[in-house]
Amino acid sequence: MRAAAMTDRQAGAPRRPTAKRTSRGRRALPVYVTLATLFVGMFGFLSLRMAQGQDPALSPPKIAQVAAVRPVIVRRVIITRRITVIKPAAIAASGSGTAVVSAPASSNYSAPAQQQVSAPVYTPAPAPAPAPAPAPVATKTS
Amino acid sequence: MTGPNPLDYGWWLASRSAGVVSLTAVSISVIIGLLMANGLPRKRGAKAKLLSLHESTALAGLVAIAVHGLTLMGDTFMHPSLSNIAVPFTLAYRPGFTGLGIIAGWLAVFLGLSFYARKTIGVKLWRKMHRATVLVWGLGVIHTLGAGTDASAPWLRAIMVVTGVPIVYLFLRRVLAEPAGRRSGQQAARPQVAMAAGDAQR
Repeated sequence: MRAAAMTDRQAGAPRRPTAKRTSRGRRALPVYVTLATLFVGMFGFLSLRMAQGQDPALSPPKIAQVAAVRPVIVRRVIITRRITVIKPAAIAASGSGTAVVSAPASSNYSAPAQQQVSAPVYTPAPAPAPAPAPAPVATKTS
Repeated sequence: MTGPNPLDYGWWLASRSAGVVSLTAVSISVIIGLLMANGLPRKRGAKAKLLSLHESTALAGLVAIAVHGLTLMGDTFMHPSLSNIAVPFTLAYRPGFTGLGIIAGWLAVFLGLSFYARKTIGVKLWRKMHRATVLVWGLGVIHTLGAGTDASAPWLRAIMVVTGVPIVYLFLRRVLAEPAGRRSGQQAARPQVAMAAGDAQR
């Protein structure tokens, strides 16, 4: 009896706004679920890319990585000019065998101004041995 | 795994994800709105379904915009305050593009929620306001391209192209068709039909 009354009331009464809202909510639910899934999927995707080192903001750009891997050749040209000045008079006076020598000269290289190096001791070359006397010329007389 | 730990950047990743979702939702909503404005779905049942989809995607887009801004507050790199994410051009990071994004967000809130106040403000005024909703999408795209971390990523550009091409086409079709309709005395018949379907729904 009660069920029949409810049925009559439902059939006779106009649709309530709450029913419309419920219907709209049912229609909207897949949209919300889809977009929430998209949010979770995006979060996972971006997290994975970051963990793999492919995040555009945190990872260095690929060009820089390639440049770092490539060997870089640096050519350094060092021209050293050593000028040795031997002063026989100074050596003869001191007899120590050391002399002041100017520093290596280079266009870009700044070296210590002066350097104490041992200079070769100046010794006069020995005189050549006297040439042997020519053999006497022997003549045979008969 | 050679990169940094994603758990250290959870808020930032959440903000980026919400940004993509909001752009997608707003784009779909604008496409549906322009479809109805152009009178493209001929069936009455289809119109009602599209209107429901239009409304639900717009609401979801608004929620995603809010999540996009609020989760950014947890980011340790930018660490913006509430005023930084609410007031345009106050964020230190690319203030121009982020400012445009904030303007787009507020426009989306006012233009989107004005639907529920259309009886108060008047249907005509609401309709005029609602036409400016496409601005939200345009500003959102500019914001994404200028300030988005993933702006150069192919997948995000693909999303923008796939959603942007129909929006531009439908918008041009609507704008170019409107003066012709007025000249022939059919003053904006299509939008009224679409709106009538929407009012009947509610």
